[in-house]
Amino acid sequence: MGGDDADLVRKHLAGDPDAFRLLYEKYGDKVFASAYRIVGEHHAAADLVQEIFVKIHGELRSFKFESKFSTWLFRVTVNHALNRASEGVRHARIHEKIVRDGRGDPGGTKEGRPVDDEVQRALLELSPKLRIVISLRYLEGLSYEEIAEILELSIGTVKSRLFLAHETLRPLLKQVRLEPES
Amino acid sequence: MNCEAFSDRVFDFLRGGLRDDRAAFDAHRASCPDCAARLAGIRENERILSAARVPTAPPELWPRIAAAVAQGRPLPFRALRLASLAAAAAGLLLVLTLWTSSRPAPAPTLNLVVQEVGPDSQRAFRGLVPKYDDVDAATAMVDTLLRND
Repeated sequence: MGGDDADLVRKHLAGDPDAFRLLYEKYGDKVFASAYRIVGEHHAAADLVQEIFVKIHGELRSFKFESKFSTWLFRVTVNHALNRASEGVRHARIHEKIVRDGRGDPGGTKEGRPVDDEVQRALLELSPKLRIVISLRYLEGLSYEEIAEILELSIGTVKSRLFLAHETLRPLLKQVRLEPES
Repeated sequence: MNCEAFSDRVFDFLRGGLRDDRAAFDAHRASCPDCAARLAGIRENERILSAARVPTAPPELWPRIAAAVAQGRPLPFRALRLASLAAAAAGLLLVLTLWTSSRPAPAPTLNLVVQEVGPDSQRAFRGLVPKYDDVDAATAMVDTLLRND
């Protein structure tokens, strides 16, 4: 992948034109997945990711190398997404109507399965703060400690939010049936 | 152990990190149907969440980010789609104008046609015009965008 994240940041700051692209290649999908889970619509998620990467491109000079680049990136992502929370709700409602109408996400993948839509619809029932915790834990596979660092919360608060999110999701996901992969 | 302590420990249990409190945790689970149901629910949620496909970034996103970084500002997807529609409408009007006209007339400028589409479309479209200073190039660009949409 061309060195670790800190090396790539240093190379970018030194003027290496490929370094920022390599950072995007490493984290673009992850940031997109989180953004999509939060705003609920592909085009809005793409806009959000674009804004985030343009923002970090401008702010990398302020990166202090005191935390992991990924932690810093997800913190920027989460803060940016939360700032867009109200707009996200609007997109979510549009998305939900589209899904309910059986038309799928207009910007989504053609091979979307029912379980993907049902999970997304359930996640959109959560408040943005709970959705972010679920997204970081189960989409990004981050530890409780990493989530706490990104969100600048105690580990106990992270677990409380996860618990609350699961309680909300339980009745919503109860009807989801997993089909074996063909 | 009470229900509150159980909920505090439940993620440690799921991660396999519960040691000292394991006996008390298991005892509470056996005696409290609500907490047992919560634990089963979390497990089932985790199974479903992990089975859901993780969406990936569209391939055209990086070129757009690179262009935005070069320009110092983002170009929103929605604006670009609006611009695509504006340009497609402009192209259609251009063809109709040329087709219905029996006498030679000055070629309509791109700006004149876009004015008929609406102010929002004009704004979105103007961002693209500097890159494509003639109709053929703009039409080719719109064709490419529509194919990728």
